[in-house]
Amino acid sequence: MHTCPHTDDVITFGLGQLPPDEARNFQRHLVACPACRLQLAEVDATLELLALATPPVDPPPNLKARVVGNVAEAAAADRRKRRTWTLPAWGAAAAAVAIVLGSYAVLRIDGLQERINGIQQAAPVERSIAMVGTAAAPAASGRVLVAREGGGARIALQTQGLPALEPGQAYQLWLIKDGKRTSGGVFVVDATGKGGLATWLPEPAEFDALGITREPDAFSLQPRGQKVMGSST
Amino acid sequence: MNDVALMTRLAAGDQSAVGDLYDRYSRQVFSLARRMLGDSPAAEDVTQDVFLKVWKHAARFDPDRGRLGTWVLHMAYTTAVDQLRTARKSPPSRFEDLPDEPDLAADTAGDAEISVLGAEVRAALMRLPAEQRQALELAYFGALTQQEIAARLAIPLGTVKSRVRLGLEALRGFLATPRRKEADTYAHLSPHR
Repeated sequence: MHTCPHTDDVITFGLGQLPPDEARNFQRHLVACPACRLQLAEVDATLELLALATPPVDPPPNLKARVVGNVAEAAAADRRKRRTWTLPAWGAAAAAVAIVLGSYAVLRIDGLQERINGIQQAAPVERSIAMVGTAAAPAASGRVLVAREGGGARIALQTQGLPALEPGQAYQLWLIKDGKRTSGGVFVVDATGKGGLATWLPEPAEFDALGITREPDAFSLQPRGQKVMGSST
Repeated sequence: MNDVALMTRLAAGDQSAVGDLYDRYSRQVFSLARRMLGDSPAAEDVTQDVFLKVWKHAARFDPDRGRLGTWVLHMAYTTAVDQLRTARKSPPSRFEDLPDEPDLAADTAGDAEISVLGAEVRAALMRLPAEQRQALELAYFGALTQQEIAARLAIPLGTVKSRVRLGLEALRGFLATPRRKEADTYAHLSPHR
């Protein structure tokens, strides 16, 4: 039996009708409440089916040409934008991620995929390295993409299956070269264990191996915590 | 070509895949938008928006999390809701009366799986008590808040809430919705919420 006091909000949230403040509170509540998560999953699944319930009618015949034309235009605009994309914006984004590290994992990770896509599109990926979990995180897996750009390196990391962090903790990527470790960036994971980072390093990325540790905070210069993932090669 | 191959082409920037995607899902997208917005030009705008969004966010589609059709339609829904909420001059009158019998005519083109599922959902909706169906349709297709529905129908808010909840529960029972993995919930949190 579902006895959570927030149970009333599940349907309203599922319908996208909670006011923004309440929706944010409810999202925070979801992290802590498996009963509401389960109920929301059921509401979402049912609502998704409702979207199919409209008897199909044909759109006007010229609509397809407009849709295809819009996409061609957007693709051309994207190409123009990408040429003028600047690195400082990346630095700022990475700094922002590091600064707010703490309690709103879900919100921060939003948009990561786009930045990772940006990396993949902006420069040819030079190396693609599979990451595997250690005994401390046997379910974890992930991938690191490295692209050379502007005398430095863009690095994108995606992980799944990492354990949830305590407030304030962070995962940190390390580039290991001749036994020396330099930070490749810090990141957090969302409630599903997915996480990652997209960053630019001013130096070319030279490494023999990669590692990910679970750190007590987001400010480690050298690993202090337990290793949770390593490069598979 | 399957959905994953189609989305891979899109994510790789292959513009020709847009036409294929359109052929597969435009009828459902357009129909949902037209039902929600009540007129064809607005539904055409939403349809254009949706396919543009799918193109831009193709790399976000995760086949492990669900069907492409569901993903595209969810995008159509949220786009239409945004449109409705911004442009809500007067809420559409077609929702005021108890809903008509839906047209159960078989759909011959488009994504076959979606067509079959769509017919099942329509049939399940028809099995709901009329007042639950009405509340659910006003909330979902009309994007009305439960307070707005209460005002519209001149019934207490608590009654609206229980109709929506009972309607959803019964629908889920009729359709025997497979339970998604609980952990997946977060991945679906959409920006409009």
